[in-house]
Amino acid sequence: MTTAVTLRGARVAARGLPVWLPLGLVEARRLARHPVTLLGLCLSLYFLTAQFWGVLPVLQRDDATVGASLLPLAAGTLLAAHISTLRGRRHGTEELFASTGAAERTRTLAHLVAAVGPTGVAVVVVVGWLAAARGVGGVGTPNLAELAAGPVIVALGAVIAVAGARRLPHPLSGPLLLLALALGQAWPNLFGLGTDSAIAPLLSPWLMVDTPKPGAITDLRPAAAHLLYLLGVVGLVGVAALARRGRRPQLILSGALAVAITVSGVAWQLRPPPPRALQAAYALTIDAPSYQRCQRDPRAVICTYPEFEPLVARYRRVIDGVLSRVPGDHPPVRVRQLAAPPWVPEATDRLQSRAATRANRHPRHDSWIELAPEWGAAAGTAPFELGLGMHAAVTALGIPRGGSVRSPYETCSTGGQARGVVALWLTAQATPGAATMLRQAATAPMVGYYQVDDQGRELTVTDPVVTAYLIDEEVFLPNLERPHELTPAFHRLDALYAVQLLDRAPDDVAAALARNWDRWTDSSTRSDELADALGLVVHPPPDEALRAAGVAEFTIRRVTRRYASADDHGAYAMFRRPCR
Amino acid sequence: MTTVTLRNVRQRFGRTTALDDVSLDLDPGITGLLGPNGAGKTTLLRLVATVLGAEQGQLRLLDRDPSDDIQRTAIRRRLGYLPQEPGFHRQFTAFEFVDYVAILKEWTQRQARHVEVRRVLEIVGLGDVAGKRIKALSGGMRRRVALAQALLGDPSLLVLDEPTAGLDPEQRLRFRELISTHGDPGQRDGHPNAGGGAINSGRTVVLSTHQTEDVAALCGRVVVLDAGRVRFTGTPAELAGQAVERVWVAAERSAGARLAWRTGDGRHRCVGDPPAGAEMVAPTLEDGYLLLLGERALAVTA
Repeated sequence: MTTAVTLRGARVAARGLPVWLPLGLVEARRLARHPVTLLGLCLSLYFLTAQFWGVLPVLQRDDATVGASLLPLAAGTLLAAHISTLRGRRHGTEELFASTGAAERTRTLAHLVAAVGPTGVAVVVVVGWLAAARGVGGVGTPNLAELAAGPVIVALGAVIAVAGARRLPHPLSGPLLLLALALGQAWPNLFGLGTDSAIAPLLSPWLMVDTPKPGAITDLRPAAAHLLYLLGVVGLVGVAALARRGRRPQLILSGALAVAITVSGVAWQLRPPPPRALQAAYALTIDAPSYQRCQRDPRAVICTYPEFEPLVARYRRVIDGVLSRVPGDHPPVRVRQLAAPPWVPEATDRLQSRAATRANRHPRHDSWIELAPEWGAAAGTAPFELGLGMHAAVTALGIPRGGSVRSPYETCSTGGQARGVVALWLTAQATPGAATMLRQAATAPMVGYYQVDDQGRELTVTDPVVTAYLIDEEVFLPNLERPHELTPAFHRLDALYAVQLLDRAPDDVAAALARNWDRWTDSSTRSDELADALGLVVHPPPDEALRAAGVAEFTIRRVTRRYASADDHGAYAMFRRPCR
Repeated sequence: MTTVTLRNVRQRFGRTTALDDVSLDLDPGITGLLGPNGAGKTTLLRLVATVLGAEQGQLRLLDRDPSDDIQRTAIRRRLGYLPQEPGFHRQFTAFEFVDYVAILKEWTQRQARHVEVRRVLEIVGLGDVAGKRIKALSGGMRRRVALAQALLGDPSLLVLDEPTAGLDPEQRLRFRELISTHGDPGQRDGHPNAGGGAINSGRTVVLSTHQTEDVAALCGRVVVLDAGRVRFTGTPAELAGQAVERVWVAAERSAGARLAWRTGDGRHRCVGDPPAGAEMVAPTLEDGYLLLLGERALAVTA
């Protein structure tokens, strides 16, 4: 404040850009780094990470959940944009700003343009997720409309906030708007309308409802229609924010266009999936071999949908681990991917039943291991390896399967059979992760399992052998998610023998088993015989084990009676038939 | 050339008449608005700053009609305004805030805008704290931030509502230097959209203040408002001339004194109807103002 000369400083003419553009960019930067926006971003990143933790991404399925993960960012953006729009009112700068050349509508437009800030952040998140998903070996092709919906939802949050702040300039109007939108999304469930209500999509401002859930292969969601609907709503709300005063032809035209887009999006969303698309989706499930390519080697035949071929190496590693311990020649293990049938509204039941009829005419071949086209990631890989390893071991040993999640008691039990112990040990040879998981599952105590002694005192049973006797405990029925295929049931007592084998050098165990391979894989050979022959610690009989644990005599009598009355192996399986 | 013209302007807020049939012509140069609280100074300045539309009467600013949307925008492009209570976005830095206002004033080219923002911040002596958040600045510094935004683009019409409130004496002196330069006739309008650097044959500064010394030191013209009416227009010397032969010094407060106060040398300076033989002294602008408004002026000077 010292020189008068500087007052005469040169000012450069700056025509060209409309005010709303640089002002909007300034607001965009501020909105993107607003603490509330950043809080929403952190929550979104958490949900995005948690949602996909331990599962290998299947891009054409998981793209639909990216938008849901961005909801916290959208909510944070809504609140932050509302705060920003009311900033002038809150800080008392309205009068000063009113004296400038920029009209209120210009400032409103700038706040609308500011949506590009958090929307850009959302785009970066989506692109980052896509890159990360590819980086960890994700398979499939994402639907760009599904991916774009997330950032558009974030933009919608900002636009709604600006319109709300202009219409209801009160600090609470932002949080109340957010609450109303959350209720709007939850409305169908809260008020029992159900997701098949025709009005549900209209009340759900964010996510699609009443749409087929995407499968790994089949995806019938009208993602493009939903994107169109979201864009229409963004335009509509934006026009509402600007149309506060006066009627301008441009705004009327824009509003009409936005209404047309929104209505088109809603109408398109409400249409059921076209029968042709449905039939094509079912064909992928029912007639999978026609759509797959197979890779063959002496040990395995692995057939996959083309986009899911990268999973073959993962399958092969597991199968090789198991079969490398199986002596002699044996037919190759045959693995096929099988997509789950698409989930569709009731209107398409007729097509579903027709597909089911076709499926019944072509029953599943028991010799094929059918896998869902998906896999685990990082720490989540072990369950998939354990499952496939167990299926491979069972197949290699010729143990019958036949059960499914829908009828689990159709599966047989290997309880008390030596080949059950062999199958579990082979399973653990698949990968170190599978071995660790099997060991943990076999030895994990049943925490909180209570019994009483003869004086009626309570005692906690933790010894796995004792609990296995008490509840005839079965373990390991891993299914491969889809198509819900189960292995035979294994008994915990046999699993504990397998764990003892895992404590020994694998080559020694393999050699010992190979010497009497036919005997140990025969269904009539008991697991106790195997344990005794290989020098394992044989489980004490039930009465001895239970008495040592202090269990009441009447319980011991009940358990002993059950074992005494059972046939040769049935004692191990209260509910299942023995595998033959 | 007259830059601000008011003809029979009346402005009411409910039952309160803020301006009552005010007619004024303001030329380039610095005009000071004096008046007690509630006299209508701020309402008059808000009209001139175009943030308030005249309820009745005619207003022309910079030879344009502010009631017309397009002409009002043209006026605003050549207007700088410091409200009585300028709000601040406290999370913004001083630079960010002035930059924000600069955008609103259509400085849309980033580089040119930043040069201009730095320039006005330097002028008000805030170049060193431009990066500080406004919430961390003192009240005086905030006032200077507000002044800086008003100076953006060297506006043809500068409207300042109590610009020196909260400034320390040194800052007030610097403010006088700054404004006296700005009000110097012959300055070129610097707004980027003002039409190729339109010559305005000098800028018009309208400021309201309770500091009569500022008016005496700065203004070529004084307007005194009272109860919404113009009570005086003229030069500071003419306002001081109202008190010629009405100001005297005495050992005690004289009977005819309407106002009197003890000065540093122990004697009383009296304003009013002097007794015979009183020791007359040269009147100041403040004396004239006090005499003009009488007891109502006490609200300001007491």
